[in-house]
Amino acid sequence: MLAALLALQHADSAFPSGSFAFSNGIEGLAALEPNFGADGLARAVTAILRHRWARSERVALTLAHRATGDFVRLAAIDEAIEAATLAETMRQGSRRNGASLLVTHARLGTPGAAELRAALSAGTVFGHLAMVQGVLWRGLGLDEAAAAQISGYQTLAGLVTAAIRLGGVGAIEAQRVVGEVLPVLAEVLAEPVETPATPDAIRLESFTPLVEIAAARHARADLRLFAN
Amino acid sequence: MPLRTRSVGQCCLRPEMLHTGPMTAGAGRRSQATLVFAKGGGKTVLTRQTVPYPFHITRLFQLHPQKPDLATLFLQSASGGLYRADRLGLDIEMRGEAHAHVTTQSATVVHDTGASPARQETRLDLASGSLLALQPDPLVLFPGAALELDTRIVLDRGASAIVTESFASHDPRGEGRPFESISIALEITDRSGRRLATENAVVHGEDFAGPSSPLGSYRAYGSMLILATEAALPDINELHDAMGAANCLGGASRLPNNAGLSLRLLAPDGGHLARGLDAAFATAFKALSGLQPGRRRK
Repeated sequence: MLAALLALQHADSAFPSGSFAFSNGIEGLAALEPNFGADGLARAVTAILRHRWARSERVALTLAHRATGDFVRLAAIDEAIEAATLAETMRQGSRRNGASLLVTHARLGTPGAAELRAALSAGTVFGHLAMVQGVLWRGLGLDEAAAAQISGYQTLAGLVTAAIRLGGVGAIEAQRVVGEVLPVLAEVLAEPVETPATPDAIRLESFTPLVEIAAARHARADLRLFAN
Repeated sequence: MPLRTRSVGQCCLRPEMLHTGPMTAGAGRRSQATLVFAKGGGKTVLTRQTVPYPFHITRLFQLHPQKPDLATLFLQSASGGLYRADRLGLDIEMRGEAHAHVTTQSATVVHDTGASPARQETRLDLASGSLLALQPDPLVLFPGAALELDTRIVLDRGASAIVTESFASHDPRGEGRPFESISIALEITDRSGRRLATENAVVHGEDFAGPSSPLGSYRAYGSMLILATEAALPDINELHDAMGAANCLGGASRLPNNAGLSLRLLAPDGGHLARGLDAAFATAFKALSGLQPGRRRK
């Protein structure tokens, strides 16, 4: 019971994770498509979960959870995320969000947070969000499955919340989208994650060209609500 | 099973870069082409060429009188496309100060491959001071086509390159039947083997054309790597404008580890895609070489 409640605490949007600053492509998509509404949002969130999060962030987070605090393995996972995140604003956003989450957990005294923060300060890791989440949530005692569930739900909720803040959808419509996409999340959460034999064999898959293009164009916009 | 027995000393490409992880099964064509460009006598020359069937190359052209050291080579296929279980490899080594533009004369059709995907492996070894523009025309994926693209690039600091990859689906019957799948693997490393940028993806035809397609409503996709030092890179706004003028949607972004730029491009169909890529290529080529690309007769 306590583990389930702990998962709710860390999935809750009230938790100061720092994610509010990032739309992860939604602001750019809304700018590209004047009629971007609930349908467009549902399509975008589905594509991001299936074609990026499922085999990229989820895999990195799971491997970081399995690394049991081994900083050599964690650095390799982090470097794999850095190399595989070709869109600059997504890469920067992942690093910044990871650093914000780490600051919060360091202040809360989460086991492993201080060591990871020291590594970030020393420049031995980039501090990408998925790696940081895997370390911290393991430190809290959450199991691998719960960690992936929180990450997936936060990804979904974060995209939808960004759309609400941009005025693209209302709060009720947004919850319809969440309900519609939850089965997609459940489906991808059921996919196994294999641990690669060597750190340099980490393979993170992603194919979301429309979102990446939207983010790249958004980075050059004069007026932006979100960092990416 | 290794497909070639060339000794390592013949080329800078390391054995571990070659032909990894094949998923193909069945009897397709196995062919490995190798091109080595170097600079000699003020020109870029081919110091080594192995071009077995179905590959075919033209002679080197000098299409830019003001830059005679820039060679243009047309790479052709004599077979009409890629077929079931084909496994074609292309290695290009650019030695110091060699400058080459390698392109094709038409799109490549990938036919129904059944249960045995076709595989295309590209290995580029780019020495400092070299410039390679590798600009194949788009791949056209027919219904049932399954294709694996595997590209590995070794990039020396001071080397420059433009590398494009693009595909669109097409059903000759006009029934909207999807291709089977396309898998993309890209790895850019420095000479020490450190990974600078990677890309891995598997996209199924049904997802490509489905309601939640990662392409949105577009149906043709292109990517372009522009690898160079920061000072040599084209202006991102110019790239965006060039693609927009060709009625394509594109976005460029800085690659990790200062490797250069990554550009994505979406278009409604293969024709628009080719024009959009040409427009972006011209902008990138001018930035890296100082020249507008010469006219290619096709």
